[in-house]
Amino acid sequence: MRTYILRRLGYSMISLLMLSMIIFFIIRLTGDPARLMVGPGGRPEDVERTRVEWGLDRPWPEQYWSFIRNLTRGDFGTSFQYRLSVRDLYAERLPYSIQLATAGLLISLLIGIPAGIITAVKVDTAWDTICKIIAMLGLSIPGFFVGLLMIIVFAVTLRWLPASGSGTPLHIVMPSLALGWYFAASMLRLTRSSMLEVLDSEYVKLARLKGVPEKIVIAKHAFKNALIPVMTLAGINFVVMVNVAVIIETIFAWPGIGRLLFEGIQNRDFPVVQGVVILAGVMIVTVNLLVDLLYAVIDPRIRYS
Amino acid sequence: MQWRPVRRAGGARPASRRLTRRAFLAYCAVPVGAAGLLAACAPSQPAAPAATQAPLAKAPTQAPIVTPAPATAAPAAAAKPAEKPAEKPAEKPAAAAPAVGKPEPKGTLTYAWHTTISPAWLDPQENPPQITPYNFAYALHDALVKHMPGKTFAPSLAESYEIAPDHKSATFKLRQGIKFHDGKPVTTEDVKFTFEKYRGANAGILKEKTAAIETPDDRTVKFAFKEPFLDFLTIYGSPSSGAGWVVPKAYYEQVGPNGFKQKPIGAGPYKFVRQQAGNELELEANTEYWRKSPSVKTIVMRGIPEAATRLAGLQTGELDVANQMPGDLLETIRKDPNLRLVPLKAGPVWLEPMSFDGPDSPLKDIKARQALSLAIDRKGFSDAEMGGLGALEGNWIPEDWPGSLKRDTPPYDIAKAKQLLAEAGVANGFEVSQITPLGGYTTFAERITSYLRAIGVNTKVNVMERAAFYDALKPGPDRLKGLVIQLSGSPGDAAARIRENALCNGAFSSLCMPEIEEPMKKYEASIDTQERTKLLNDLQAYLLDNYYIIPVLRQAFINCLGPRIANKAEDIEGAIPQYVYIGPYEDIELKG
Repeated sequence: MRTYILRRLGYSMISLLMLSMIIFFIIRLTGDPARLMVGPGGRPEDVERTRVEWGLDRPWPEQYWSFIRNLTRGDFGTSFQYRLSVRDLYAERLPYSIQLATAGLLISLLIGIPAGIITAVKVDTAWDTICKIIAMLGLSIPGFFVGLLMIIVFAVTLRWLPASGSGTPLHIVMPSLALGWYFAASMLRLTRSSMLEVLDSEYVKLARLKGVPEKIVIAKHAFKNALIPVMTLAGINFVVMVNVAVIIETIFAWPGIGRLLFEGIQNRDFPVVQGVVILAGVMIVTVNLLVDLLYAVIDPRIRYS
Repeated sequence: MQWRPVRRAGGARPASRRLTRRAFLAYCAVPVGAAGLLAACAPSQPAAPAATQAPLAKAPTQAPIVTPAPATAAPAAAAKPAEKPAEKPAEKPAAAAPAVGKPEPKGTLTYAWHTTISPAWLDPQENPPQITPYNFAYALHDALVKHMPGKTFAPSLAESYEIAPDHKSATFKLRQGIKFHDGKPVTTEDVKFTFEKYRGANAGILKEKTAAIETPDDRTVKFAFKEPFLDFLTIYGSPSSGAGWVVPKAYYEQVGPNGFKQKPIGAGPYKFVRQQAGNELELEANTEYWRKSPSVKTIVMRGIPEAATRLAGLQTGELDVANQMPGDLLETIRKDPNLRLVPLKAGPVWLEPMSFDGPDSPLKDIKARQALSLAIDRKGFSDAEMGGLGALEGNWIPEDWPGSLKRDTPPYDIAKAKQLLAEAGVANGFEVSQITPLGGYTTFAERITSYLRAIGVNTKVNVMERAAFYDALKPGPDRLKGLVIQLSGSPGDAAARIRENALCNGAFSSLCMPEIEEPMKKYEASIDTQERTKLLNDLQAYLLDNYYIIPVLRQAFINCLGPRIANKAEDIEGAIPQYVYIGPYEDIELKG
């Protein structure tokens, strides 16, 4: 087990190193940030001065080495646009993203799992059709459309909720609903397929033959076993919601990490883009590692070779 | 090493239903990738150029753009041989204490920005050549001279100033008793430090031409120039640079440039309270402000990039002011009796034939270029792109800028355009390799393309991100071909615009011709007002008459006021020359 963990940690480090390399070089292909920093009327000498000031005049490998060296010290650099350390910026935005992601995840679970179970249990019924339509709409309607529609209905027309911003529990309702619906749809589909598979298994058939009530069969025998992939997806969804809820955060002016990333890309703010992507990578790798380890705890049939 | 189920009850899971970890990751990569792609493909801050536009317009309420306010006391560009501006601060002759017994500031004004609120904008020392940062400078800082309603170069921190008759020096007298927000006095040393350390727009020209800054006493600052510097005040005292906005030397040195951007201290009507970088900025009234104590106690500026969300905020009363409302929302605003639409004249849009696609391009012929101009339906363009609020000016230099040559709107005449093409030997039209708009203005290019197609000139739209666009304007192997649509909001005067757009080394220039370079050199060397005016007029006429620059229209920057604002719109929106935002902040009042 220890060898396995160490090896997985090694793989994770390699993944992160590759990610850092890819994002470092790809973001530089977008062009020179010095011109944007100096502004549209900037003179060539000002642009050059800015390049030197921020170390952008150095060869890319040298810049990359410096970036990696700083990363090992937990230093993600200073944002070109905000003139703040990326670590501080990220820390400032993270609580907002976690709030939004938590609320969005809860909504996606509360909608997706029950609906997924219903569609699996009542295959080819009206319930199944309705839930499938909800799933299809959730996946196909763009987030900005759902967001704007909610703003018009709940903020402008009914005046129940604030149109944008953060700070009170009411502010989080619309963005989390808009975000949660999209992920609820995927959750629904996965729960459904997972439940269908489990319901078709031998032990469920045996339970039914033994006369166990159907509710117990579904809740205890089927659902519990169908939950593993669903929870794995929920974990990954949470990381995605924290880091890349770009459209929802933009529509609702939510000060989260997704918007930070979006603004970073727009402004060629290399340190911000690199920092957000690396930290998202760290989260995803960590979640995967934890999930792999938890599998052994949750499901004793799983062993590590 | 892999994990695997040792035993699976009921046999192997069907491959089609097996959900592996890899599948999970692949699944998750889709939204991540899509989001990244969306962000990467999104137009590069389409709002930003508008945010950099600088009009000279008075703002009407619920009405089309009105005649611009004439600039007063325009000193350097107009270049009177000797000048002692008659502008004495009318509000407070010399003292800097606000009136006693005035009501305390109250209420909170919430102001929605269409862009990220960059902390860099809070530091005038790095002022980019845009009007946007001035919004924050007007609130937090104060300048020796600045544009104020009805006045250009109005004395502010300076009680008075004088330009020497030979234009070789400028002397400012500081107002007495002025303090920064930390209670420390504004001194001549602060003024000197601010100028010497300034590194924003036009820092180069200011420093190149300045020989020394003298502070003979504790209220006098004298700028001595190496040679006659007729444009000094135009650059120093207008949105052309941020060098005039005084920062506290001791504090700036103590916290450094980055620290200053996080917690700025100024001498303006509002004090910094807090910011959430990029997203929100809170300011509090400086009741000691020399001009007047602000009426509104707190101003909260919020970055709300989505226009529909800004409108919703105005409708629900969460917001009091919102910047830049796009054309598709104007009808909703017009129908809402609680909202006031404030369209302001902003930066112009123009077409340039660029490099003519090689030596054989029909665009080498002036008649072909004229045909392009005749094919553009400017009114239709304004109606479609900006709710009919665009100003149909005939010059690419705003007609209310100092030195601008007023021209009629170029005509729209398809028949004549076709006739000119026939005379140019391309009666059936011709192909232009591409048309490239400034990033974020693709629809402008699409519309122009459709107009040109009507006369047989076919081209395709080339979309470029903004910084790449500016890079590609420069001469070199990667220089843009075909047609280019430019917009500019950088503030200034006619000479500044020619320097930027028509000289070989201009920041946004596609042109490099001795017919322009030589007269401009003469202009720079001359201190004869009449000669300078003639040279500028001739240059503009040359560029326009030869269709090297084809004006399309002048954009509208459309703001919106909510029901709580008590002022007349024209008193606080567009009241300050060359400024398309709300202000002066100390004049804003809330109802109730």
